[in-house]
Amino acid sequence: MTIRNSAATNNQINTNKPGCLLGFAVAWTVFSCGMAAIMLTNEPNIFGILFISLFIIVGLGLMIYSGMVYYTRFRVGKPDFLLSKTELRPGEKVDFSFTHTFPNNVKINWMKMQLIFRETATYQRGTDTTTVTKNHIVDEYEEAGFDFQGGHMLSKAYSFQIPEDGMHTLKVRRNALEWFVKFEADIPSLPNFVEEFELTVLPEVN
Amino acid sequence: MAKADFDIQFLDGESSDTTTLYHPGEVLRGQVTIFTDSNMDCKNILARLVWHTEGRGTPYQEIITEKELFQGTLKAGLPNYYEFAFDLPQDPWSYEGHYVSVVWAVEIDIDVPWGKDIKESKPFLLRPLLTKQESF
Repeated sequence: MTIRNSAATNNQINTNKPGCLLGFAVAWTVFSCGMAAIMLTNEPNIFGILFISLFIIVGLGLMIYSGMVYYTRFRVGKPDFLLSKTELRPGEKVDFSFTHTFPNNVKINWMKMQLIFRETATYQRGTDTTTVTKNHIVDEYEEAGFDFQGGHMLSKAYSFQIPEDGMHTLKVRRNALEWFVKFEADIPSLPNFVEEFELTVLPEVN
Repeated sequence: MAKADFDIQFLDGESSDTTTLYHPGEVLRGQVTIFTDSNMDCKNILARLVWHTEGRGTPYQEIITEKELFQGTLKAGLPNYYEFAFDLPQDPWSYEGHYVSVVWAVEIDIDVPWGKDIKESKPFLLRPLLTKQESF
């Protein structure tokens, strides 16, 4: 069975959510501006204003960055990604392909397709919650870049294999071991175009 | 407070210098020897099959099953032997990673009335039998 990256087949999970970053940036900036307004109407002092200004600058920076991510996606368009399956066992192969007609002229330096095994750990230090991740790149393909013109069509196919003795997917509280197929394109002067698709590796052997 | 020394042995599995390997679905059989320096009343001696995460993340633990080995008084200076056996589940498999590790163990817990429990555990590996070995 072939699974397409479209609304019709929702069992393929695309983990890329640029909207979350924009939402967070807007909420951060609005909150910081609110704090600044309260500070200015009460007892304004130079140190307080400088302190809250830093928060506003960080929020604006995040908004600009997430806007650039959206602009990247607008320039590149929406490739049609296909995965042959999303549930597999260690040792099994998954076919990954994409077809894309570029809507605009865009220069791409390189494209990478990776099979990633990711460790994610979340821990508490004082009142802060921190999440750390470690990506193990298990397999990788790299394509040279090109100056794509609007209307140019690109189609590629790859095959990835979960190692025979690879670990299965595990998600428990604050600890996760996950598999992903990642597509990444490097575009000059803009954030990289990144799409990730989660694979569920079952604790079964062939 | 009385002290207890434990010696947990696995009676089967594939042993190496550092650990013992079992495959999912197998039976783990073992024996624990407990020495105490004075007579010790215990509500229970429990053997637990457990797995937990280790590493940077907040630890997570699951008790798969628990068996009662003994109730009564442990005699000082004499070895007390108890055997246990557990049916091993299919998953999760043992894993040692950068931030997250999955560790299986048998835990022996002496439930002391009006005192802190005395615990000891011995880890083992749970990994499937592979048809061919590859490195990862």
